[in-house]
Amino acid sequence: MKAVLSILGVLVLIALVVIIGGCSTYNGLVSLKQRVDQSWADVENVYQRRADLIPNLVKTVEGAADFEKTTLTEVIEARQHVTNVQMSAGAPDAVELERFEAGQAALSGALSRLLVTVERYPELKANTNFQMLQTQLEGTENRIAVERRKFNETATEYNIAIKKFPTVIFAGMLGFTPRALFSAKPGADVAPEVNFNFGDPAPAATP
Amino acid sequence: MRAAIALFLILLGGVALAAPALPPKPADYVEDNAGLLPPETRESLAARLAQFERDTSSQVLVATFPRVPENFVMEDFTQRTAEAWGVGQREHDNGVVFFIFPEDRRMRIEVGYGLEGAIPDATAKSILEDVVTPAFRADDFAGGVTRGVEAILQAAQGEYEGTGRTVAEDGTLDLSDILFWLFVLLFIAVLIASAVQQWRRGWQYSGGGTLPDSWGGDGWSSGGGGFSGGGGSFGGGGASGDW
Repeated sequence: MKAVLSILGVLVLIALVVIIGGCSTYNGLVSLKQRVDQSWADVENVYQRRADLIPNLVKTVEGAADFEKTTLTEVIEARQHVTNVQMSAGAPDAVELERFEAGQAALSGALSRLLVTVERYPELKANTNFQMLQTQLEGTENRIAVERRKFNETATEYNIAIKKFPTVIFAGMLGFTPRALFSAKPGADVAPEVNFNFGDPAPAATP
Repeated sequence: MRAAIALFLILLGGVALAAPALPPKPADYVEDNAGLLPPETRESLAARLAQFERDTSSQVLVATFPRVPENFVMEDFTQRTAEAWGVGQREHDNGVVFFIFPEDRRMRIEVGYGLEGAIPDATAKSILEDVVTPAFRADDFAGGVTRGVEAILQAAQGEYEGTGRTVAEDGTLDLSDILFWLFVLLFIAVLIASAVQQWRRGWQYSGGGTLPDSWGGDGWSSGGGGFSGGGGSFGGGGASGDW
């Protein structure tokens, strides 16, 4: 009888440890997941910021005399496509992220082609409105690079946490699935420089 | 056990390789690693910036380095450094760092999240182009930096309320200090472990890390309390320029 009681006591103790430990791990995972979703929201924000700049950019460029229409149309269409991509709430899974990235990459490409074309229109380059838009675009590209990196860092932290023992045993059951990361394209960090710093960066400022 | 220590050393080397080293936290508001400014300018700027933090709680720093470290794009380096230094208050993210790389003839104003409204990219750009560049072209670095900082302070003025004290004057031990000392302890433990290792097998740790040893911190340069980061965050706001 005494033996049975003590075994029971040990079992209760073990159960308590598991429950308490499980709760605190669960809470930790919840807040970590929340942070991943938050940094995804930051990523969407900066991409949205870029999309919002485009109508203004298009208007300014269109104003220039006989501006080549094809590159402009490309940008407009890529933007249309990006804003039409439907995303579920929170950080996306691998398929969704790939779709998102493909759209954004197409827009990046169209934008950089547009800015290369602008190179042939000196009066447009000297336009103060255009110069301001260019500064804003540069800043936005830089913010995109930063928020992508921050998202990857947070998501990696989360992915590691859910794969740790003993969390890994019940993480899947409780809906903590791994998050997809942005692929680090070679030279992705360099994008703002390559695309937007054409020629002498400050010809107007020469005394 | 031996395998575990070896694995640990490899991991340590791997971590050092994966994340390129950032400069250590500055001791004062003006961190002139490139030796660009005369001491009196450095001191008067540091005093001005400490007073600005007391008045507004916003932290503004000047940091010069001879050049952008290898393997870094400037914008990447400045954003990471500003964030690692924790410039600005944690609850406001109101930090600004004015970076200058004289050998590259490049510079950048890095603006924390909380001041992106007061100092939008266009404002930062015009401070660099219209205020700083003309002075730098005339080799007047002290004048350029002073006027540039003055323009930054003017733009950041009135965004936040100060407490009358800087973070350094509050004298609280922040998390990063604790982490730093933990790291020192860990480092000593690794040294001892590797010494034991060498003693037991004559095995040589060749050192895989690439931590540069040339970050010359110039210590305390003013009579004030020095600088201590408030834990602010940066999202890549600001502008880059050259001269």
